[in-house]
Amino acid sequence: VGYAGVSGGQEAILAAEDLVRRARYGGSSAWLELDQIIERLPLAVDRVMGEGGLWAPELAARAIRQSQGDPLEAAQLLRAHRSTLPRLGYSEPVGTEDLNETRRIGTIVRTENSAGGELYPELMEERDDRSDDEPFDITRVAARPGAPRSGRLSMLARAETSSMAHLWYATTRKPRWHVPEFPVSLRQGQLPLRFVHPYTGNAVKVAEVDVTEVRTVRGAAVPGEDATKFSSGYGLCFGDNESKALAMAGLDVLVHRDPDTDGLEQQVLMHLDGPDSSGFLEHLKLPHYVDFRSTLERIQAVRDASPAGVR
Amino acid sequence: MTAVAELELEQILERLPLAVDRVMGESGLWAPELAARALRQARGDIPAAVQLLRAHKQRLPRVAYSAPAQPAELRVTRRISSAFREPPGGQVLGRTMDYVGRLLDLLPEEEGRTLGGQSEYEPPAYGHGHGHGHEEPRRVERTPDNLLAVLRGMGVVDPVPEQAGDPEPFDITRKPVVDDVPRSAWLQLMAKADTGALMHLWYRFFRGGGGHEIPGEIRHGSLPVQVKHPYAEGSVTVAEVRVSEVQTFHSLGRPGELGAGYGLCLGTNDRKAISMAGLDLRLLHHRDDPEVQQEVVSTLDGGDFTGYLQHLKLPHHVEFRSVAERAHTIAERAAGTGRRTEGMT
Repeated sequence: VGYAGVSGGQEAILAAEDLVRRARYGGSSAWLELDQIIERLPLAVDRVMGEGGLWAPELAARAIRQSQGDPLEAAQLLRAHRSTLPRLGYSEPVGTEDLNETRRIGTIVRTENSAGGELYPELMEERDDRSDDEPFDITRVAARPGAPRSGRLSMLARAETSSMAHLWYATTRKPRWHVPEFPVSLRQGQLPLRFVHPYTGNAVKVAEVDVTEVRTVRGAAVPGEDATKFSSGYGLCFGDNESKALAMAGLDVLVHRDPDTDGLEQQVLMHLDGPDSSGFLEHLKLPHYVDFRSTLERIQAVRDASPAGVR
Repeated sequence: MTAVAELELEQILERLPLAVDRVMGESGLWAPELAARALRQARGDIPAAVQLLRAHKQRLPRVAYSAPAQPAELRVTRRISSAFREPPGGQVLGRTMDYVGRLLDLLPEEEGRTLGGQSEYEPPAYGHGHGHGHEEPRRVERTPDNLLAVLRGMGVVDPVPEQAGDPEPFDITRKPVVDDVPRSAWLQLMAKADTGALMHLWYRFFRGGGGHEIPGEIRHGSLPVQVKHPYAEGSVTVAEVRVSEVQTFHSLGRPGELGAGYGLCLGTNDRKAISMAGLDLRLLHHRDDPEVQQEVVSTLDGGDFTGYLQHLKLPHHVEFRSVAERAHTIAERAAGTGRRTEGMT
């Protein structure tokens, strides 16, 4: 750790850790129980599981408690923990028609049981990604511009919620992008996680995860686009997190419509990961003594070299 | 199965203080208990808690204006510099998790409960086994010299043109920010911005190139809130608020210039103060670029973008119908005339 270089650094670090422990165990309030966090602050737990990329309510609650309520730090803890777990196998693909719905709303038609897209099927653009390829695994290789849609969607599902909502908002409010976007359906529910039994060969349900799913459509925005067609976007994330699923579906369709404008695809893939941006930010707190000294020396040198009064 | 205990406000305040601070900062109201209430009511959803606290703030009367507080009055509980090994006044790490490994603590709950049950938790003495006697702890300087002043003394920092005459700050709670945004307005907007969004914008600028700034000073501490006594002479301290403050430096412009950026927000929130200072630095550098200003002014408010996202869930039957009919009409006309219609918005 960088501060070890400072005189007394090691002791200072240990003392800082003690202050954290005192705050954690001291005080007059009761111990914060995991089930209190899970039942009373479920949206915080869901957010951390989503950004951590691990469905584990108890561990997420632990991470929230350990991080003193900082969701970014908690997601980082969960992500770090996840990377220590062995990969035992791959679950079976699950279709969201298996979703055990607890909530469903549509915004474009009033009638029950109609996703709306069916009303105007001829308006929907065929997206060419219907082929059921092996999905891109972002836990093995980072998705970079040009990555298939599955890679982008996986990145978005793990993205930091606020950053993603901000990117969606900052993009969609620009005049050139500003056309109505309609979530055709928003659903919440449980998805079964099935695993092929190693001996019997049958798929067995081993767990259920809560998800929020959004399908959205938007029309043409950029001049030259086909104004007779709507494109669809898709969002799916862990837990109850409607802002995230909405922003995800919105960004999916925006990137599809025009990945190059504003370098949107690049922004989606490179700027939204919480541990990425937060980790980079946090590193600014570490010693940069030598960097700063060289900056100062350069400035002095430039000034010394300039004639007096001229800069 | 036993029922899960109600979450007490004190538990939220003591065990999840960073969530409480974030809610207070983003809603612009220093009220720890109310923020804890909001978090509980919003079931842990920070943007929703912010919305609740802001709505509550709207109903409060504006009793008085406090006197301007000087950063020099900040009594520090943490003060570090990434720029200087030994800044005047020294480094105070304070309560921080910066140096704790990012490993999930899997301590069994039983042990945690036992540790937490002691009224005065005493951490075990740290033996680090390198066998030297410990010096007496140095006296901690609680109001260390401002590093920016030191650098200004060296004549290496660009002067900020606007500071001349110390103008009355722009009040974003009274006037909308439109264009030609004064610095006091963008600083206030960022202090209330959504932390994640602020960090995202800051990160995007950094990824755009030009290297990163170096925080000269990161401080946590309490600032007194003083108001003029209505009857007696002089002002009285009516409250103290905890803040995070950052001064950051970077040479973005010509090589002979060192720019300074400033960040200050309620509570403990290094991430916000650092992003804010970094963006302030860039805003000062790109003063003439309205696009950068607009981005900061109009996209960072959590209430704005969450509200806009959430409104998508409301019925849009009529709007959708009209958009769909327009698309139909365009398609029909194109088919009728045998000509493909170019995009319309």
